[in-house]
Amino acid sequence: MWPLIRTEFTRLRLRRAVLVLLAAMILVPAVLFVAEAWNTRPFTDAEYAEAQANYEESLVYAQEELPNCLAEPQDWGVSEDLPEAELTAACEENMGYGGAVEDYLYRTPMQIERTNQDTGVAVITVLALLGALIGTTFVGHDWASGSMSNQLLFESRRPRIWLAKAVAVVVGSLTMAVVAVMLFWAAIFVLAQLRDVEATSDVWRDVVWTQARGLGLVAAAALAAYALTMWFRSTVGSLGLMFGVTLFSSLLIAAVFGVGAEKWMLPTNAMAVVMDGYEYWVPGTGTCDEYGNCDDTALITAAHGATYLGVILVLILVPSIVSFRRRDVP
Amino acid sequence: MSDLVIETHGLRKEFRGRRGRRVAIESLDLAVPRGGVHGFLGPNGSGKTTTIRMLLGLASATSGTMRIFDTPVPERLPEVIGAVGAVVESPKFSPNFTGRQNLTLLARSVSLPQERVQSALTTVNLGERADDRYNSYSLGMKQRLAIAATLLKEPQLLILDEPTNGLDPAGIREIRETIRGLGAAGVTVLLSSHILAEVQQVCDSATIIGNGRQIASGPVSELIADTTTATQHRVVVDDPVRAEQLLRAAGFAVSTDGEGLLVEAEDATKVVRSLAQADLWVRELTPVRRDLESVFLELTAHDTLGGER
Repeated sequence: MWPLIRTEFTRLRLRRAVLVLLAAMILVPAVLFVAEAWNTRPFTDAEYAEAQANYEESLVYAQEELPNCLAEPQDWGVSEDLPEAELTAACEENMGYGGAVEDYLYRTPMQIERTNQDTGVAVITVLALLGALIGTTFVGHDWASGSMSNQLLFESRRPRIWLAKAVAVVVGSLTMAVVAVMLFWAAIFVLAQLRDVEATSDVWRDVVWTQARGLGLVAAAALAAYALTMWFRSTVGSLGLMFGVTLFSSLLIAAVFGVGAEKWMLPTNAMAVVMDGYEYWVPGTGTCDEYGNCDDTALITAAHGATYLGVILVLILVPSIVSFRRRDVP
Repeated sequence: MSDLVIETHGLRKEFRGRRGRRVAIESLDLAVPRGGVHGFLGPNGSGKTTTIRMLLGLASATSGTMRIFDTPVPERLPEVIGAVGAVVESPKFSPNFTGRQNLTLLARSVSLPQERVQSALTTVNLGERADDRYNSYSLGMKQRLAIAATLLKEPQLLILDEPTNGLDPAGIREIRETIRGLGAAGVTVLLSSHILAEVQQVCDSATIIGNGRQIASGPVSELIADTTTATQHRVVVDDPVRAEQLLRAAGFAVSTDGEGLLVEAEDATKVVRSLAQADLWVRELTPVRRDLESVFLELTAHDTLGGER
């Protein structure tokens, strides 16, 4: 079995399309890092000065308009039934009175927790997509060129061929994803040190677990795409199906399940796995507040997400293996 | 131990499609003796490639049994596949890899010594182009690479499906010599070909199939002799029209062939005598030797091409 696996690794390494995708696994997170670094760059003195000026201008404006608000509070979105003291406070609040200079700085400084949930998840999403593309491209080429039958003339035990290729795809994609994630977070760590951004050990632990679960998702995406292509024997067919599912399955599930459909959608369950739970709005199911808002939130747990994705993976893997074992090979 | 390298009994292959079932192979009993080159002949669609694909485990049989080296396949194909080299239909390799890379990957997958790659490339005269990409090869070079791949395993049985397709005359000659050489060296070669002259030149024995069934099998010389019930003669006379009428009246089967006549007759002297009695003198009398092509056409004349059922 080992010679077969080694051969598949060599085949993976020699395939140009796969090499491009593997390179993209490093380059795209690098671009995302640059974007993150730029979007969270420290404020310059000029930006502070501009914010201070805007803040002061808004105070002047509020001072001028406060009498108007007190006279016609409904025009300013404030209830006219409020007692006078509260009315003044509500008007001031609506006009930005009592705010701070920071409110006029139009970007958020770096926070490791937020980077983990935003750009960190984006990196994982990109890596999962690239992993899926590697899975489908790698083996789709074998079917398109007809070289699969040639390989079977040397090793006729089909399950071994299936397994060897699966190992190459998953290990190859995962290795590159691990390198990409480690480089990305090493860069974020260095940047945080340079900017004196601090994070507790709990935050860093959360980063490690989020990324670890994300890497599991990358491996699953590569394996699923590979298995799908072994089943349909075509890169185009598999990609078409994957994009079709991505685009239309959520719409279909929403139409079928209505309220709470997120629980059965692929993206939300994937998010639940990566982010250790995914919270979504369920309109009109909660206790109504004073403004008549009755929305509530529901949680998809990581365990639910993992079970959901696991079932889908099994539903792809089993027919893929059975089909490869039994169907005639062109 | 059986003397047969390949043996099938009651082999049947049925394809199911939108337009119903199609029988590609029906009750095929194939027997390929050990050693030498065995031809596998049949019109297009007669089931030659399907039979080969079933033997090699690429397609499943609907029913029937198959044995290679006395081992039941596909159940125990892994035990014998290492001794079987095969080219099925057109060569199939990764187009962006070099010839050497393609062979190296195949050899490495089953732990064959890497030296065999160079040796196989040299044998098929691809040594100089071994490091060029496969998609830059001519069709002939692709065929030669496919044959080189079969040689990697140093096979005892070589199954070649139309191996000279696309080769130039020199290439065809080279491949035929290679096949003959392998046959002489003790390798059993099953050669599927639509070029009848090739089979006649290269093969010791042959099996002819038509419409998914075996029509004839045996040594090539016997196949030709067995199916020759009447000898054909080419006769040239000054008045072929009158001669044709006369010979037909005398009970001979006659057809025209340019300025001559083709006459079916066991004994040529009867033809000459019949004509001489009518004062028609034979200028030329040539026995027409039957070849595998005529035998093949005669045997498959009643088969529907394409094997549709």
